[in-house]
Amino acid sequence: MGSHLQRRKQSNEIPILPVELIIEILSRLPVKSLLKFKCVSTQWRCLISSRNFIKTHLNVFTNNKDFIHNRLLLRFIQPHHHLMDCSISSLLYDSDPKTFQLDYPMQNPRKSVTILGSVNGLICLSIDKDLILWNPSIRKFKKFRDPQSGRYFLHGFGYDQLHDDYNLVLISKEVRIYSSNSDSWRIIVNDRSHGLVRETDGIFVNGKLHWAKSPSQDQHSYNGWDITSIDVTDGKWGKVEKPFYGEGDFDLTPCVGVLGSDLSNLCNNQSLQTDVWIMKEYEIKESWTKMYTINRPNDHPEGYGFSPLFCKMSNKGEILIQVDQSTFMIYDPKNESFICQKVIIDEYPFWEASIYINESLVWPISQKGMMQSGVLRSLRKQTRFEQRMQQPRRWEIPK
Amino acid sequence: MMSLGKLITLKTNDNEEFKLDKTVAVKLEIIKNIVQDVDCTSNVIPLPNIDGKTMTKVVKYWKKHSEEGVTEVQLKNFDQDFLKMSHSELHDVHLAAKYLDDNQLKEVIIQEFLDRIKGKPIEEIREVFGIVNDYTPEEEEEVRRENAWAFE
Repeated sequence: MGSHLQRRKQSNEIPILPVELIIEILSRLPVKSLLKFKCVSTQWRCLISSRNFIKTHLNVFTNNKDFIHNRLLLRFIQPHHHLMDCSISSLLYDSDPKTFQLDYPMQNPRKSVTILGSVNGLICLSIDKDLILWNPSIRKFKKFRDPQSGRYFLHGFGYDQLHDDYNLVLISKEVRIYSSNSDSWRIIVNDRSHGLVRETDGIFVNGKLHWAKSPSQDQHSYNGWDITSIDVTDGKWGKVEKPFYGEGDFDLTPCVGVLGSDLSNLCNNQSLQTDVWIMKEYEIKESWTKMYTINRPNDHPEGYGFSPLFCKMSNKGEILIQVDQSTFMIYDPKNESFICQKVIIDEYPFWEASIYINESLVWPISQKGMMQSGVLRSLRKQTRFEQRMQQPRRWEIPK
Repeated sequence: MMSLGKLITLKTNDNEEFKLDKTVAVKLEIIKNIVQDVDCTSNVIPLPNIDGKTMTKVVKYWKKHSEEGVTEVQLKNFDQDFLKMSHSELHDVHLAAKYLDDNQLKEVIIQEFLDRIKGKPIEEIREVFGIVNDYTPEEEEEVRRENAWAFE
């Protein structure tokens, strides 16, 4: 540090802060500020566009576990096909949650749009026979071909951390995995898809997509179901054990969800209670824990059956529970009570809802694709810049 | 491992010595770790990467934040005063906090930098970071156009 300080004193100017500190500062900023800051200098533009920075920003800003970047994405088919979005904080604190019409790529009110999943700020949509990978916060998308032409009964969207690749899985007679890096599809062995509960989203946890599987026709059978997974990195099938519920009279709908970053499962029992189970350590059956027992309100003529869509809303632990196709409830586990009995989103019922991260710098196009679209010059600079960043730091802690 | 006496001495690269009371030091996980790692018989911990001027600030921060019975409001006022320093001084304290593995102090400094650039126009951001604009006017215009909606 001595020489560094001296150099600075000699020049007697505003110091140029080291790249590491600039990265620490910038990685805490929202996407919109960062897009603006690309104008500061060519170095900043290259830094903000670099893969390393995009990953750092994702870890520091987006996934900082306070859930403030989570939003609710809602799909409507009435009065026409459209998407709405609503911030989780608005759901939590506003008596009348604010929803916004979301402009999405290739929008057409006559064409049905389906949400296939979302990871790291990227949303995967299906519109008519096209598939779309879209990051609303940087307003970039790419369209790719659906080899099944919509003829699949299950889907899931996940992220392969090893290859920094986004993957869409479509299951029909065949199981196909799309890689956004190579912009291509591969077919994997399909010996497990029989009995998967249809028309449910793949739940992405720990690098794998999960679906409930119920081999018997009786979907409410106690022993019949389990959880099947596909690892998006190697395309291998796997199985996750369900919780051991103990004795009692349960209404077991095979379902799998995610709460925080853990696999979860809901179990409605006959005495107006719903147990929320969480698998605290992935793939360890014994780690299934009954986290909460929620007393369902009894003001509904047919009684409430909670659906598997629910999420943690803040670090205080409030949980969002979907009740039906227009209503959510917000539950506070600490006081074992509902903060908000009912949140009705819109005058029309929504068809499906999903939670997504609203802000990241992640590109829906691979670097190969970026080069083709003429960003070659800045990429060359970026490579040089990344090489420089990999040089040893001036400030190593002495051994 | 050396024993924790009543006082621990931290010695900077310009030979300034800071005597820390054990009660202050023990609250700092970092010092405890250094104490365990450093194999020496005296109670002096050398800090080869930190100068006296910076360490004075760090120690001032530590002392205030481990004061008994200090209120949230007092700490807030203290932090406000503490952070009144130049960018280069902030940077030095950040490096020291990083070296000493003091995440709280590190975050405080980063937050101060964030506050200093919050809502500022591009020209002022350049000033804060001492950056020379190396775009040609045409290039800058192009980058601005690419992200025009972010400026709305």
